[in-house]
Amino acid sequence: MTVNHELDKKGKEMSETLRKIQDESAKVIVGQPLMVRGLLMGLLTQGHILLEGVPGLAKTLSVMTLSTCIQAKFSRIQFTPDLLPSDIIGTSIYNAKTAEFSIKKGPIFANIVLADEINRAAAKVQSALLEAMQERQVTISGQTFKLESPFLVLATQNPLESEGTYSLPDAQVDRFMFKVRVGYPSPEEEFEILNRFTRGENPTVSAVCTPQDIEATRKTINGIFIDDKIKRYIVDITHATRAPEHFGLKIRNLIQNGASPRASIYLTIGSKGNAFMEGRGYVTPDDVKAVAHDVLRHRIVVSYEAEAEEIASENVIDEILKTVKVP
Amino acid sequence: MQRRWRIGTCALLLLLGGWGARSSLALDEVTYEALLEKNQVALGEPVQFLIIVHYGIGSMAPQVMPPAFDKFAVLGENERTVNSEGQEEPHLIYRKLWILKPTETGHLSIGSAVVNYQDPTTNLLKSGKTQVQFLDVMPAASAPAPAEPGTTSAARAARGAPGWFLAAGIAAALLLGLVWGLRRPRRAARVPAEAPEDRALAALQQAVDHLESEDLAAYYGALTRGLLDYLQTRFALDANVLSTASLLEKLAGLGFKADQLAALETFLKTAERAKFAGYTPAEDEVEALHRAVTGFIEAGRGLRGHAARPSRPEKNEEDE
Repeated sequence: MTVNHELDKKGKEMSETLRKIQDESAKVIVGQPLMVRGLLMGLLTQGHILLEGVPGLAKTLSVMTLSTCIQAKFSRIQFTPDLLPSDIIGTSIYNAKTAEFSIKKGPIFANIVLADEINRAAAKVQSALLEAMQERQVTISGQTFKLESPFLVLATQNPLESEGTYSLPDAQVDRFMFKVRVGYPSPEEEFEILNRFTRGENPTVSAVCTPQDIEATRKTINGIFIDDKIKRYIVDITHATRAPEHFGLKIRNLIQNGASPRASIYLTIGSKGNAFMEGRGYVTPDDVKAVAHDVLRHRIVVSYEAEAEEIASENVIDEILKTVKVP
Repeated sequence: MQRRWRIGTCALLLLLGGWGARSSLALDEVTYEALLEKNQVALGEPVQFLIIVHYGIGSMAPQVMPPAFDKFAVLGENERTVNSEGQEEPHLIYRKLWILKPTETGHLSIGSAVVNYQDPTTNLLKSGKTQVQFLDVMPAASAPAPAEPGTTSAARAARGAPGWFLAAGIAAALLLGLVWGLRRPRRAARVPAEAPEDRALAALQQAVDHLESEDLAAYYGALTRGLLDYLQTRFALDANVLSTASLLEKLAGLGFKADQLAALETFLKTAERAKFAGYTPAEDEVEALHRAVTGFIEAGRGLRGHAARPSRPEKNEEDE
């Protein structure tokens, strides 16, 4: 068991870049620390993020701000029922002058893609996006194109409206590393929002790093040390979502489906990202706990019985974290 | 026989003006019991049914779900919580009283009342049941003479409706009750429970064994466990669940000083590095960290907290 202590030092240095991004984006985004943290974590660990919150909570603004801070190419796709897969990935267009087909790349060819209201488009459009998310490449008219790195999809969905929406199937939701809940700002934060955004001139941000810096940071994160005891802890947490009775938890009736092995993978990656953000070169149980809710909340499907009792996956996760023995 | 003892106790305590009072109770004890004022009444004669719950000041107030009074009419009910007096440790006494009137004759039972209370050791909500109570209800004609205003049943018995036999019986019950009452303090006055700080320090001392085998990860694992278990029992914190930052924040609110918290933070972070990152602290650092954690636990002695102790009666059966 060894840890690269140089990495520990390097991690501290590189987390300074991260702090700069956070400070810069704070010029525009008031509050929402969990969302900003989630976005950065997704960016640094190559994990796509599902943002859930009612309209008007600065979801789009946050993503645009983040793109500006890291000089990344940003595109926004408003999902609607009449959207077609080619509207996302692109299509080949016949040029009558040259009598040739040319490829017109869609908005997915960007570093950060905001899929706004993803549940408003039909299943075939959703799956076109989700396939690109998984494979990080798209095929247009038989030609395969690699997507630029960093490539991060941030999808939003409104939890309140269900009319005219197509819920994402569980298998597709599973592809998102995090599901981040975006809540209302506090009264103090809202007061500050008024101060900043009602003067006729909205605040702006400037670039503080490049996509190459992000790539370098990612490599550092990959090298963060994770002890076998922590890995075992992660496996126990995931396993407890499937067989809670093995851990003395009497919540089996509340869980319809437990988390997939992808949850363990993302818990590990997310924990490393959290350790990096804390300026550490190794993972601790606190890192796992810090990302557990974001990683697991959309992967645990609660039963009808739980829904009837207004028990959400959050409550199930809380119970699991309280019970599973910390190394 | 047990019932007679209980009746004797009730009568004695009523006469002493302290029905249901406990002689000694630790803060981490929760006890509950059901008491019937009498075990024999005439049809239509009221009888008092009382549930008493003793609990430490730090715990949530208990909830009592009464049994179904199928063969009784409920004439009235009342509840109140009082502070204990003259106890080793302060605690509260919750009393809920029902005045019942039997509606039929025979050997009637009053089922168990469910008592929901907060377990002082784990802070979880628990449920318990009181003992079933029995009452002999005689036809009105064969029952003792109806109560005159201002007279107790004991006094009526002494004047002898069923004669000297009943009076002697009650006297015997009183004597048994007295014996029982005297026995209680002796049982309660057990060897004083070890303070949580002493238990934690003993656990820390045991952890030193790992140093001899040069297993630093196990050593710091044992130290951390000892510390977190102490915080959990002493201050009722979910120390094993909280992140280090949240834990320190909560401890700051409990009155620990900034330098003590800083020492604790250093200890926790170094322990994590040793456990999960293969970090090997120097010998003097190991000693300094051990001093830091023992010093922190010692500092906890002077603070107000949950002060849970290890022994707690599971149920009230021992009172029977």
